[in-house]
Formats: sequence, C-alpha cells, structure tokens
Amino acid sequence: MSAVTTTTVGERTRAPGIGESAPRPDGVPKVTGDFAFSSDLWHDRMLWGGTLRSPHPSARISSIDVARAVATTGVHAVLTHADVPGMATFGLEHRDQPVLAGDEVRYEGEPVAIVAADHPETVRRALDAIVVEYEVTESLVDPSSAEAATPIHPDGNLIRRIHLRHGDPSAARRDGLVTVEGTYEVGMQDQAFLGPESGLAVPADDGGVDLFVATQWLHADRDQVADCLGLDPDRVRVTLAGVGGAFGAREDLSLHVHLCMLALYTGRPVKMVYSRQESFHGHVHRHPARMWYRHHAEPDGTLVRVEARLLLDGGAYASSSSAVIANATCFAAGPYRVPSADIDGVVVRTNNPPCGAMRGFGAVQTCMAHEAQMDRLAAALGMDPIDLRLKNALAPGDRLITGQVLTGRLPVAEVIRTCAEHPSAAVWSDEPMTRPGGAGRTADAGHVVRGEALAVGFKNLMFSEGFDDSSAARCELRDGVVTITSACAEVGQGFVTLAVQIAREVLSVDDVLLAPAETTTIGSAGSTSASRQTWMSGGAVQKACEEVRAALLARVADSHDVPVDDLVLVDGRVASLSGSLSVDLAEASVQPLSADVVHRHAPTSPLDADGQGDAHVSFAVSAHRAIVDVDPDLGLVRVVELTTSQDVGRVLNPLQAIGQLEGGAAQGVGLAVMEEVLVSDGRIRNASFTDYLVPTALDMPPVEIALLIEQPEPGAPFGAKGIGEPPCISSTAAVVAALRDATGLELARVPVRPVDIALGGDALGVDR
Amino acid sequence: MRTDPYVLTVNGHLHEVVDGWAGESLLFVLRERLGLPGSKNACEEGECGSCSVRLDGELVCSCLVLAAAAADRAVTTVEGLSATHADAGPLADVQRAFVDAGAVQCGFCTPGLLMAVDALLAGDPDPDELTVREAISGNLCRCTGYGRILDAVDRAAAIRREAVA
Amino acid sequence: MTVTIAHTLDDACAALAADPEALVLAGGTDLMVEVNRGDRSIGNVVAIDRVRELRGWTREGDVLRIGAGMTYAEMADPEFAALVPALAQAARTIGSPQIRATGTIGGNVATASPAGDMLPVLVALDAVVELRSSDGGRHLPLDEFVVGVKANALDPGELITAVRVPVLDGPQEFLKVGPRNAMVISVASVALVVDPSERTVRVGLGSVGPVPLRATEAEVLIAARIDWEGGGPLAAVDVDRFGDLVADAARPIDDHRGTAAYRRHAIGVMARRALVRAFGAAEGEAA
Repeated sequence: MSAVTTTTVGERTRAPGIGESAPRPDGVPKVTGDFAFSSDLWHDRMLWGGTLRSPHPSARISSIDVARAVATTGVHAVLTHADVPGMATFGLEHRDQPVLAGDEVRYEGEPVAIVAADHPETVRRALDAIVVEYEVTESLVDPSSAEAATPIHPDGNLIRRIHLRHGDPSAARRDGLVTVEGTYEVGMQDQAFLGPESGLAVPADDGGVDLFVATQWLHADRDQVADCLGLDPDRVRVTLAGVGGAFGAREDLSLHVHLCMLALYTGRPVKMVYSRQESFHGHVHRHPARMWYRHHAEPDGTLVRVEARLLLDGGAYASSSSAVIANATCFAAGPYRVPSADIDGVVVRTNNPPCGAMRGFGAVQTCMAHEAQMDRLAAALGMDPIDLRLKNALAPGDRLITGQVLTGRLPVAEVIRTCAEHPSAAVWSDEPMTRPGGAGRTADAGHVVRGEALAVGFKNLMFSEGFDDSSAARCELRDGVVTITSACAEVGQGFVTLAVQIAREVLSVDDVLLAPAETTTIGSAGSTSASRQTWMSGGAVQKACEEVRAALLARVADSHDVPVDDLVLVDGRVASLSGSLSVDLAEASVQPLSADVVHRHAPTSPLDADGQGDAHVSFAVSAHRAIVDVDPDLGLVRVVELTTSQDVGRVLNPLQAIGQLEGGAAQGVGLAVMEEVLVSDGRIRNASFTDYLVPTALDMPPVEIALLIEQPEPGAPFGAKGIGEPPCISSTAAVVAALRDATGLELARVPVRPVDIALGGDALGVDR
Repeated sequence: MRTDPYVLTVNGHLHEVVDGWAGESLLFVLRERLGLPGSKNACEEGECGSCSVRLDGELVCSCLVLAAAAADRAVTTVEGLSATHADAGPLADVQRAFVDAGAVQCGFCTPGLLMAVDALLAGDPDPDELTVREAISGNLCRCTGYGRILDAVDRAAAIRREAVA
Repeated sequence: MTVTIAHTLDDACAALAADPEALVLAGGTDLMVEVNRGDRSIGNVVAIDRVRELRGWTREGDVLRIGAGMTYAEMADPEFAALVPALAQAARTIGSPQIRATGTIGGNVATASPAGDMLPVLVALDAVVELRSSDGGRHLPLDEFVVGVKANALDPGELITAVRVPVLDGPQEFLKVGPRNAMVISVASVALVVDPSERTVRVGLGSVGPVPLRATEAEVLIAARIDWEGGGPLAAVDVDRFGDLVADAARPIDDHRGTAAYRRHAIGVMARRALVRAFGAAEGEAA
C-alpha cells in the first residue's frame, strides 16, 4: 500500500473514505506491470497444460488413443475422462457437464483430453498426436425445436420453463384497446474479457492442491473442484490470481479441474493459458434470445396487459440458465406498471455453445424487446415515447408482474426525466473521421442522417428466488493498522477500493491492508456478479469493522472508566465527547481486536407455479439516451453520444461509479452494433478478435452522466445499490432505437449489421 | 526446435536468450523467459494491443515480433517506463495520470495503453480528442469504455507540458 | 533454427538461396499471427526488415518506386501521400497504429489476401512488382503476381523488392467498408484513380473476389462520358450506370463478414461516391 492519496478537510488530512474518489489500492502495481494476473504466474519446475477439444458439435466418441502423445518427448501427462478421480461432472446449478467428455461430445470445443508438457509447443504437438475417433451425430441447433427433439442429455432438453401469470388473464379482452405486437432477436454476445482463462495448480504434500486462478467465486470453484478430484474441500485451496475482467464468464469452471488433475498426476506445478481462440470456446456466452411480445394499452397510454414468449438458447450445458430465464421473465415487461401479464420463458438445451452468466443476465435481452414494444406502442397511440414511459413508470408501492410490491426505492420517472432533459453536447463535425465508416472514408456529410432515442431498463440486484446468499469478512485491528480479509473476487470493478474506504470510514484509520482472497483463511464471499458485492461483501466488511469498533470503544471505556457512549473514533484516535480523553488508536490496539461476520440480505421467496413471489431483494433502474449517425446506403453507424441516468442509492466512489457506467455502456454499444458470436450448425465462425468486434476508442462515444440518482436504499449498506449491470441493459435498447429513428427501419434484431440497414434486410431467420 | 542464442536489449539491459524455441514471439520471451510479464497476452494476433512495446521507439505489437529477429533492437516495455521518464516519484507521468484519473479497472489493457500513450505524447504534446482516439484505436479496453482513459491522457499531457516548460 | 537478420539485399537473397524453404519475415503482421496460432511451423527465417534497399521510395520521372519494406505508417508522409493519395488513404485504414508501424506493402502484396488493402489501389494503378533472387531480377504486373486467394507467383528463393506505380496528376479515392470504425478487415473496398493525361479512370475492387479486380466496363463507359476538355459536370444517369457496372464487376461471396448481396451493393455505392468526389456533383435526373 504505497503513497495513499489524502484529502484535506479543514486542518486535518485523511485518506479518502465513503463518498470520495479513493484511488485503487492495486492501481500502482497495475500501471507498473507488477500486478500478477493469472496468466503471469510462474513457478519453479512448472509444466504447461493444454486441452484437446471436440471439433464437432455433436458426436459419439468411439475411441481415444493417447499413445503417440504420451510418447512425445517432453510430455508428462495425457489424461482423459477415465482419469477424473472424483465426480465426473460439474456445474453451477446442475452438475450436468463432464470434466472431460467420455462417450460423447455435445458442443464444438468440449474438452476431451488434457496434456502437461515442458513447453507450450510440446503441448501443441502432444494435442495433435492424440487420436480421437468420432462418430458424428446430427446436432440439435435450432432452439425452437429443442423441446420436442430427442434429448441430447439425460437431463433433457428443457432446462427450465417459467410461465409467469399475473393479474386478470382476460384484462385485454375488451374493445377500445390499442395492441402492438413484435418479434425480436438478440444475438449471442461474448464477455470478451481481456485476460485469458489461466491459472497455476501446485500439488501439495498433503495430497491436496493449491490452485491460483482468475475467477468470480472462489468457494464455488473450490467445492466443484474438490468433488471432481475426490478430495475434501479443505485439501483444495483456491487463491484469487489477478483477474483480467470477468463480466460473467468466470462464474463457471473452465480449466480449474483440468489444471489440478495435471498437477496431481505429474507431481509438478502446472500452468495453463487459453489462447483467445480457445477462450471463445472455453467459457459460456450470453444467451441468444428470440422474443415475441404483445402489448395492450388504453388509448391514453395506460398499459393493460403484456404477453410474451421468450426462448433462450442455453447451449449444451445448463450453467446458470435457470436463473437467467427467471430474470428475463421477471423483468420482461420493463420498469412499468403492468396489471396483467402472461410471460412464458423457456431456456433449452442444444448443441450450440453453452450459455450462462453475462452482465445483465437475461434483462439485457428483454429490455431490447420491451423498449422496442414501448416505441411501437407510442407510435400506434400517436404519443411521445417518453410520455408513454413516464405515464406507466413504476414507483415505490407498485406491484411488479411477479406480484412483489416495491418496498425499496426505484426512481423510474426521475431516471427518465433527468436523462431526457439533459442537454446534449453532440455537434455536427466536419471531420471525415467522425462520420460512420471512420478511417474507411466512406461517407460525405450529405450521406449521413442522425437519430435519437431513449430507453429504460431495470433488474434485480443480488441473487433471487430464496437463494441463501451470504458473504463472510474479517476485520482485524492491530497497532492502528486494519486488515480486511474477504474472498470477494476483485475482477476490476473496484471492490478492493471500497473495502478500504469502508474500513477507513468506520474505524477512522488511514492504513488499511487487504489480505489475499483465498478459501483457506475466510468463508465464501459469494459470486462477483448480480451487482451484489457492494451490498453483500461491502456489508460484511462494514459489519466486521463495526464490531471491531464496538469492541475497541468498549475496551477503552473499560480501561479508562468512562461510559462507552461518551466515546467516538476520530482521526485515528478514541476521544471522549465530554472530557479530555484521547487515546491513539495504535496504542489502544496493541492487543489486537478481530471480528468475523457473515452478512446476509433479507430472505427472498421462490417463484410459484405462476411465477409469483417476493423473489428479489432490491432493484435498480437506468435510462440511456443515444444519438447515432447513420449512413443508410452503406448501413454504417457511429454512436455519437450516450447520456445516462442511473438509480444508485448512494455514490460510494464517484470515479469508480463513472467507470462502471462508461464501461457498461460500451458493452451495450457493442451488442447493439457489432458484437456477435456467429454460430452455424453449432460451430463458431468468428472465434477471434479479428472477427468478434468489440468497440475501440474510435467506436465509443463520450458517455454523459446526467444524474446519479441517490435515493438511499433501505437495508443496503450505506444505502448503496450495486451499479455494475444497469449500464449495459438500457444502452443497447437506446442505440437500436436511435437507429430506428434515423432510418425508419424496424431493426428487430441486435446486433444491427450494415446489411440490415443498407438492404433493409430480413434480419430474422437468416443463417449466420 | 531451438534457436541459436541471441541477445535482446530490454529497458536498457542486455538479456541473452540461450534456450529459445523456434517461433517464440517477443511477447512470449519477455513474459516467460525474461521475467517481464508486464506486457500482456490478450489475443496474440495483433488485434488488442495489450502486448504493445516500443521497438527502437516505435509502438508495435510484441506478439507479432519474432523474438530472435528483435536482436540488436532496443525494446522498451511498461516495466521500463518509469526509468525513461523518471519525474518526481517512482511513476512516469502517464502511469501517475492513469491511476489518478480512474483509468484502471481490471488493468489488463493498461500496460499496452501506457505504451501507446507514451508514444503518442512523445510525438504530439497536445493532441486533440480525435487524435488520441485514433492513437489508442489499436488498444482494446473492455472495462472502462475509454472515458477515463481519455481523461488520463489529458492529464498526462498536461503534466508533461508543465515539466518541459 | 537460424534467424538471419539481413542488412543488404544480397545477404537476404543469399540466405534464401541457401534455404529456399526459409520464411521471409518483414513486419510479421501476417506471418506471426499464423505462427502464434500454430498454423505455420517455423524453420529458418530470413528477417528483411533491416534491408537498406527495401526501405523508402524514390520518384523516377513519372514512376514512383516504393520499397517493399515501406510501412503503412510511413505512407502517411505528406510528400508520399501527395504522389499517390489512394495508397496513403488505404494504408491509414489498415489495422491499428501498432500494425501500421511494422506492416509493409511488400508483405501485403506477398500475402495476397483477397482483403489486402493495398491491392485494389495497386491493381487500379497497374502496379508492377519487382522481384529478386540470387539468380537475378524480374518484374511482373500485379495482376500476374497475385494469382489466387493467398497465392502469389514468387519462385523459391525470390523476394519482392519494390512496387512501381505511376505518378498521376488527377484525383484518387479509396473507400473501405468495415463494421467497426477502426481495426477492420475490409468487407468491400473501391479504389479510383484518374489519369487526365491519358483520359482514363481506373477502378480497383477489394474483398469481392479471390484477387483484386478491375471494373473495366465501367472504366470505359465513364471515360467516354467525362467532359475532359471543358470540365463540365457528370450526368447523374452516367454516375448511376457507372456504379451499376462497377458492382457487376464484383464477384463477392457470402462469408461471416458479409453477404455477397451486401458487398455488391456496397461496391456500387462506394464507386458512385468515389466518382462524385473526383469529378464533383452530378447533374440531372438519376436513372
């Protein structure tokens, strides 16, 4: 912890606490190149690992011949399914995915064998030398036929159906209503984190293994790995290695068991790093979705009923699909009052690449659809689209389509208004590079039209449906220095900064150390996902610090014979309000104090057979206004400006909050206009950054923050809501709506491709 | 298949590579042989810029440089930044600016961006926004949306202009 | 495995003569991608990025001789760009600043990718490729050098030493479509060069065929319609017809980067825009 930046308040200087832009504690090592990401790890005597993957989306395995690979000079291990010591399968919600394929493969890229060797080049040769005989079988690649098709897995092809029925089912069966209908599609987005899947496994003397890996949930990894290795959990020690981004793709296991198997088998440390191409096959993607919607409203715009059928393609294994479809369904109608709803949400299994968690988690897909519907409805009503949204905006006290009443804050109308009313800084530039097409110089000024639109979206924070979520943390105070221990996975979002700020705030100290995140020293912090860590792990840290504070004050009260209520902590001292007592914190903590807590949120309920229940803890809403320039003849697009307002509860670190809003918006822009994993017949056609395009600095516009709306959320530590997901939910919907405004085209599918605009093409049902 | 031994000059220091393998990129050698893992391996096909280094002052993707062919060229990596621009304190101006501006989240793109920005400011002390965006268009960032990065470049440029003044 | 770092052309040719299987390495922006992926096994290498004779460019009368080792970044030089604007413009669209710093025109030509951004400009300029080996030198027109998808007419032991293009005193345009504003492989591209002294318009097409194409029918039509003497405006019907003919000359395929239909359409749009940029707004009714 070098050079702590301080702020001066009055005559005192102190390190930044809650509400201030404290710098990241890991910022300096990250800029010097000293920060150890999982792919930077190195160990004496280490071997390199690699994975042989299925080239087929669906096939039976007749035989696997490893003899030539084993005989290759420099190879130390070649392992297959028969070598899996413990449970043969793993999985987040259902343990339905084989560690290594045995009799069959169900997706292109499914791991079949693993190798450890002295150099990555030897690994490559060994992999080439493994002979697998496949009997290719017909693959199931159309999700709409999956339910009726022959099961491709013992668990069946239906991963989950949730049929939400809310309110009066006959509410729309009357005259005088305006009805609009549409079918929408969202393509398969990839998290495309920059740090490749990687890790190091070191065999231990006790027959266990130490795994250093980039992940989102250390303890869930440990438990699955332990089961697959046939070891007690305390023999599998997971330490968080530096994470190069996650966005949902590291929630599932990737190379974890493989690495440990190789390390245990060879008795040597083993490192594995996926190539970018392999990475596209090595983690789950965002569920592609097909969504049919029908909205019914009064002539004055009051929503009466929303019907929808959602079909998500879960790919070959379940991952977190059950939770994703629940989210998509619960939030399918958007942040509006909808008295009657019928939403049929289905996620199916196919031989397409497995899908799972990605930032936004189901709400991204349905937001694109419900916002398109709201615009369609506004047009049918002859009503301003923003007025229509304001008219129906949810507010505290309203009931959601799950039947849950909003007991917390949800400033939908404020988010819409502040975003819509924020002045735009967008100008028309003469610079050709700023036109659609960029350096390609395809457009002159007269070829470009501009469009503008607003979209709103919301989702839950934290886990749902009765899941008993918790986070553990420890606070230790010794000699005036605080150490926080938490297994919360820092993936870039800045929890490490927050933990330090919380400790500073509660204990009035400047020096806060963070212990490494590992499974051996502390209990689970839960997953870094679902915008939950500020509430859960921040809450755990807060509680632990408060317990230490209380114990410290009690100790000083006791030893100085003063009432504890008379004591306060200020500027690193324990002081009495009334008298002249002032004890330096370092002195008072020569004898260390420590507190361990496990923090939970208020319990939630499952959803019943009609999708009704108090299934969520809290919600957050955001709006985006997008301004886009389009060259309609060529279909090229440039997003000129994004403006956003977001419901954040309380801003704990302004700079980090801005970072989340800007970064999430970039992923939303990507999904709107350029990002898609192209799958044909179960095969990924663009497994590289050459053809899976994420926005560059020339593609991203400035993101104007209209307002971070601070309405403290009851029950939330510091009143703060998680902020990571909303920025990528309403941004995609806003950009595509702006494209519709510019072109007059329906644009029912994202990502919008140049051909969709230039040839106004049939965007649905085209094989990609 | 091993290469003949060769010598790399990295951040002003000579490194002899005696056990190199055919086809090893400069990125691989820096990270796995020379103990300089600061340059990153996000794609290894020249599409992300996370491996960016300066080769005789030019900004290049080290994943596309054959290590053995970089002998007798001066290589500068992120680990060498503070040495070349030592101002008040151990961090170079661009590094300080990135930390202060909140331009670092996961940090994987950061070393490559620092090299790109350092190269940009060496040639253009007061670049406008479009120039900056084009200069960093070869560096992907998945976390930040580039907003705070642009701010960091402004800050670094200001620090550098002031230092020169 | 030996890496020979050549400093002279003679050294390079001698090394290649000694091992004709050796890989020629200039900027590495194509070769190293294949090596990293494991798609290309690597034996001996002859590095030519320091060969003096391959750097830079010279003007010899009306001919611009571009060293094969000239990088895309170097093409931004205003003096060079003024002599062959379409080539400089194409260079600016390639890859990223990092790629442009080391990628070379010689590499682009040798790789002979259907999407190589130098190629439509070079084919429009009727470029000539200079080759050399230890046995001597020869030259080939570009369209005889790039013979198929990623296929060239290099003999074993041969190197590209330079590319020769005419210096023309007329407008030049290069337009390229890609689904992102930076770092894109071309989905379709059009190069248009005007030679007022010969009264020709030449059009090169990229990414719409196995090799770069010329739109000769369109070229002939429009050359006959241009008011070379008086400088009067083009007729809108002629611009439209020109665009259609250029689009007809394309032989695009469907792939994951774009459909044939879109590519053909884009070619027509870009051709019309390039023509209007070169000759000014058209008059009259469109077809």
